[in-house]
Amino acid sequence: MSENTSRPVKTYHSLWVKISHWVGTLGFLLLVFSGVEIIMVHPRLYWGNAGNDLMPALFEFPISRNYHHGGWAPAQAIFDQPNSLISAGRTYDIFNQNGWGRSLHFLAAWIMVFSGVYYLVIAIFSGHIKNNLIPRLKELTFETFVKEIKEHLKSSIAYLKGPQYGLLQKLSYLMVIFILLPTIALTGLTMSPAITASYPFLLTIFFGAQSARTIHFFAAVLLVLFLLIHIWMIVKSGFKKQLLAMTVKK
Amino acid sequence: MEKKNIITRRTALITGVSAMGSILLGGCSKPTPPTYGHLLRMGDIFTYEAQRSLLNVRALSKEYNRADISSFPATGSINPSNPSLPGFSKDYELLHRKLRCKSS
Repeated sequence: MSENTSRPVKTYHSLWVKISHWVGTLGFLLLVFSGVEIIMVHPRLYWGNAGNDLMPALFEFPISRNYHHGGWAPAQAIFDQPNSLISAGRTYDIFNQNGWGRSLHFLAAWIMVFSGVYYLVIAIFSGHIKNNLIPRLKELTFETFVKEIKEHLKSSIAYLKGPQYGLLQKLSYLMVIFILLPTIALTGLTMSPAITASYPFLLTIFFGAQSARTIHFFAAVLLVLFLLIHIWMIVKSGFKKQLLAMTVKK
Repeated sequence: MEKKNIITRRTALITGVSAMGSILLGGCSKPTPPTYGHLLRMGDIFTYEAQRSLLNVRALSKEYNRADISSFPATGSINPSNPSLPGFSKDYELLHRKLRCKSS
């Protein structure tokens, strides 16, 4: 790893990093749990402005009894014309628990917002992002990339103290903080008609409320993938050591 | 000595708490829905207050064209006067028949 002797090397994570990390973790896990429940209520994704059970889906998930339930009364035409749009009543009792799922999702989102803003403000103004997260120029070489990828594929990887991060680690953290989390927050807001009434540009940049829902889902998949790799790397570099460094060690 | 121009944790916390307070105070004049001591309801009220203090209350929702109407599932029955469909209502069928007689 590149040693920069001009600045003092911190040995373990700062308290504000630990607090925002664990509060954010709580919020994230609640979001994943309630997010899966919300997908179970309507296990279909669409592209564009509108989407419902009588419209073709982009993706369908076989994860609840609502998947392909097929319980419909004969469809009726909405307009008195050939090839009219249709409507139909359900004859099947669908899994429909939107109330608590959405409330829990929003509550967990607030937890993420508070820990995220707390993190960002301190991280930006304390120089944490500039000093510890943005890669040094000499670090950003093809050789370092290849070397680090090879290292990560070995059975165990080097344990780095506190905020001294490796190149791949820095890049993945930056991607989560500045691309995935803002995307998932904005697409979440785009699904709210109250918010898009005040900020209609959200519907433009995400191609509609249903597209925003689809992008929201795939950003969530990437974040869960990040979480799994994150845990895998912690196990490989010493699970106990890393857990102590992120909690009690000063 | 050069003055250090950083935001300390204390000032960040004070700013954050006062910002939160202004969000909560903004809605104090209006009564809020009851929470029944339920954590999720409290979260909902926080969302509700945040929306009303941060969003433009006069904003109108987006308008769509007739061509943007899509097929959609009905909530309950489409035609309660049709005895072959679930959700059939005898009263509605009578009303429906009366209305049809008047118009023709």
